[in-house]
Amino acid sequence: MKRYIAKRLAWTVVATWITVTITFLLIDFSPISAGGATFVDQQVQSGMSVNEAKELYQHQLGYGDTVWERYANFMIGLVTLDWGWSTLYNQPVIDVITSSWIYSFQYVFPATVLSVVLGFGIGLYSATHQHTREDYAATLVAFTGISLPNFWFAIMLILLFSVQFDVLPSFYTTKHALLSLGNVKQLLLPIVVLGTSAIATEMRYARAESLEYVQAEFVKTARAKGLSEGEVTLRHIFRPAMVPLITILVGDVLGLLFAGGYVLEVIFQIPGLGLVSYQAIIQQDTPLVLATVLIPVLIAILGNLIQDVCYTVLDPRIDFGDRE
Amino acid sequence: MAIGSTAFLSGCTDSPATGGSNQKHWIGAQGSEAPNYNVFRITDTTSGNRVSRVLDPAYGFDENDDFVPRLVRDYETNDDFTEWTFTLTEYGEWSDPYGSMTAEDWVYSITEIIQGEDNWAAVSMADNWRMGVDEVPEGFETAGSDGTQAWFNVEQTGDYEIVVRTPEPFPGFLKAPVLWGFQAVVPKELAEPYVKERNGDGLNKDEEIQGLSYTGNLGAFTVDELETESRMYAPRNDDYYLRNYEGYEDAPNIEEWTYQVMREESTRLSAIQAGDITNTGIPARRADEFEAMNGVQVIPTPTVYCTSLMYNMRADGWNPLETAEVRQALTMAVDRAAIVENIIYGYADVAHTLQPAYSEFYDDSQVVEWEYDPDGARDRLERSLSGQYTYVDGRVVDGDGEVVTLNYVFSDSSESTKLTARYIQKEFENNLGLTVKLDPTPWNTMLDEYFYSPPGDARQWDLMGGIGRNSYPRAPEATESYWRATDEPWNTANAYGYDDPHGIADRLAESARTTDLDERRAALAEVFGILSEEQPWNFLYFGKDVNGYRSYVDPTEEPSISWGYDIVRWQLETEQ
Repeated sequence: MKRYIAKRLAWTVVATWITVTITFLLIDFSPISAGGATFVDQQVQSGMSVNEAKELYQHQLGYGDTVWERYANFMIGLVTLDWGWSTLYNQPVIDVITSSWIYSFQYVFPATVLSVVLGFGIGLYSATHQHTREDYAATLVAFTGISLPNFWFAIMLILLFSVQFDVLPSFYTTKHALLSLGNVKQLLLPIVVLGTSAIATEMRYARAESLEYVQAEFVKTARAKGLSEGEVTLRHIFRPAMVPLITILVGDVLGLLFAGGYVLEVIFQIPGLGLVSYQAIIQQDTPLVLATVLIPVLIAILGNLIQDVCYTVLDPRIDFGDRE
Repeated sequence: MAIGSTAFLSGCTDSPATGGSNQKHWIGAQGSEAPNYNVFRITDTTSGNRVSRVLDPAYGFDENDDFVPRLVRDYETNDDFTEWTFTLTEYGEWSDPYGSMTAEDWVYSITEIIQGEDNWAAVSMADNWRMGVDEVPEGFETAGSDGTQAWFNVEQTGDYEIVVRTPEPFPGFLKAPVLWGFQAVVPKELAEPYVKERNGDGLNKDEEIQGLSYTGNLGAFTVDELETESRMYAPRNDDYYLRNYEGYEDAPNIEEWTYQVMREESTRLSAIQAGDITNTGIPARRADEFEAMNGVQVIPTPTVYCTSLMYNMRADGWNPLETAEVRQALTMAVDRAAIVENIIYGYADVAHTLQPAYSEFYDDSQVVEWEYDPDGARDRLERSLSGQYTYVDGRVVDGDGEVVTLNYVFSDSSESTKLTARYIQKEFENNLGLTVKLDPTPWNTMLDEYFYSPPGDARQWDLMGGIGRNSYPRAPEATESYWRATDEPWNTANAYGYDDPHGIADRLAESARTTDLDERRAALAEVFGILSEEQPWNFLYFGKDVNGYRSYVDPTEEPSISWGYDIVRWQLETEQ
């Protein structure tokens, strides 16, 4: 197990380096950003030549003159934890990330917990009560949740609860302290939107995975031994079903954070990591892009490692060749 | 001041900045984040607006084009307009420890940073502080490498007095984008270490520069919180220097100011409708709907930007576009009034030249107003086509009998630009028999790979849409670069390659030095007359900004291109 983990960690470093390098090259060889093009256009209108204006723009970015110089600067920075200066926000990258992650976390975390607990619970119930009225109702809710586009649902909720009934704020503001009623109120809608689509997804997965074990021989054996229905469900159906569900969970959390999260962050104006990283990409803020790419890559790779270790705990049949 | 999440994590109670319930708290929505607070580099409106709340400009102009003193209280000029003396306020104070704001700070910022050697501080728009000359006169420093530019001479002549000398007469100096709206000044003491080391990067990264914490009493508000992708919160500045002047004793009438980033249009519109914010831009298509709402007022204001259809008159464009009569025919074939009415929802004025009708340099008797005339357009085009191009079966064809197809590239980010492109495509097709292929392209690609690229490298384009250009109605000579013909037009603002047969650029340069106002006015009126006839672009329209406010906002000014100059005196009444 130790050797396995060491090998996996070494691979993490290589995989991260490859990802970051590819990202760097993609940005560096992209055409000038919209902000850069506008800047050049403005300078040219005031009498500067296009070439001079482009040089001035590069000078203001301060990344270096050649591709190699820029690459070396960024890589050394990443390794030494000096993640550089965000040209999009004109502040240190580390400050941008430390100030934005908490905003994502405070709605992604509750939405994830909510979706896992409710989604898995309802999915499991549906599986063990197949073809009942409750199962159909749960399926209907799940498909509705999956089908509703997040951006549309979010706008509808704002129109309903902010404009029509005036009970919740129409956008997120940072003026409220973390542990305040104001903050809770403005987080309700994002959590509901994110939670709805996530619950639905988790529910369908949990139901499908659990169904595989509902009629399994060892479940029948457990029932024959006189175990209660609750024990059978949790220990003999849910536990093996958890293995693939954990895989889904890691992927989903990342997906929620950086994809679903982005749409919500734009609509509710939550200044979180999704919004910041997306803006960094479209405005080609290389240091910030590299840092925001680095984080999910590390989470994904480490998440996969944790997930693999969890498999051995959850399923005795899985091992890495060094089980004692 | 708190930046980032520190304030947010500092306690368990709400900060004193309360929301829409407090009618003295202005919450303005901005569609993007302010990228930079370094006053030497700012070129975007979002950052500029934020800085304006905490640092007044040198001076502005009101709706009647009269001088509005701010940090600069007064000005004088000599007879030949080569020397401009500006008197600064004596009540200006920087934040501790920098003391009084004096002429020394201004001269230092201008001469050492803006006019700094090799632009070491990577200043944007430094070109505003120099002018073209035949030869650099004695006493002036050369700007640039080719000896055709000279820096203005800026000197301190008193504690609160600076003199700007120009190498040539510059009667339009006051209204040119040099000191008008100028904010690029910081305390000398703050800048000195960076100036000595020529450390532009350090100056840009300085916490006080990026945190706007040096502005003392120089603005109506003081920055309290700057939060990335979220907001700038600035309470009223009780020491505001402007309160020492008559009429401003109580300024500002707003207790707190928040700029809230709101990237999503639907969220901005929901928020103003719900009363959660004070002000946001309203899309023209929904202006009537919001005008009819209780609690919201819509105020359209004119802009100085002319949205136009550009023609590629370079070697890689369709060469008949180099002929004025062809361009006139293309203008006559497009119903610009219909574009304004149906695509811009009436929030624009049809343009006939690169000067709005309200400009003092616009002369009806000189400007040719091309009417929409499909038949006349067709006749004119047929008469003007020369060489290999002709009409066959109602279509324009080339020497090989192939139907001519013009490539119309336009910025794909704006709905009105897309609709305008489709409309013009139909007009050319139906009225002129000209086939147009639409090429929607991202803004940056359009500029970088089409407009500012030399023939051979550039992607193919004949027509270009989605570009607005400042007409500088107060100092139109600033448009000189649009018309200056060079061997490499793609490296200049005249990237479409207009060959300027009537010497427009030279006339503008000449006008900039003309000391007699009547003479200057006549020269400019003639220039804009020639441009209306020449149609180097199809001047489509001057758009309007559609501003939405809660109904308790009571502006103290009339809608104009100066809109917002007097915002420190605007009233916020109690909302009914």
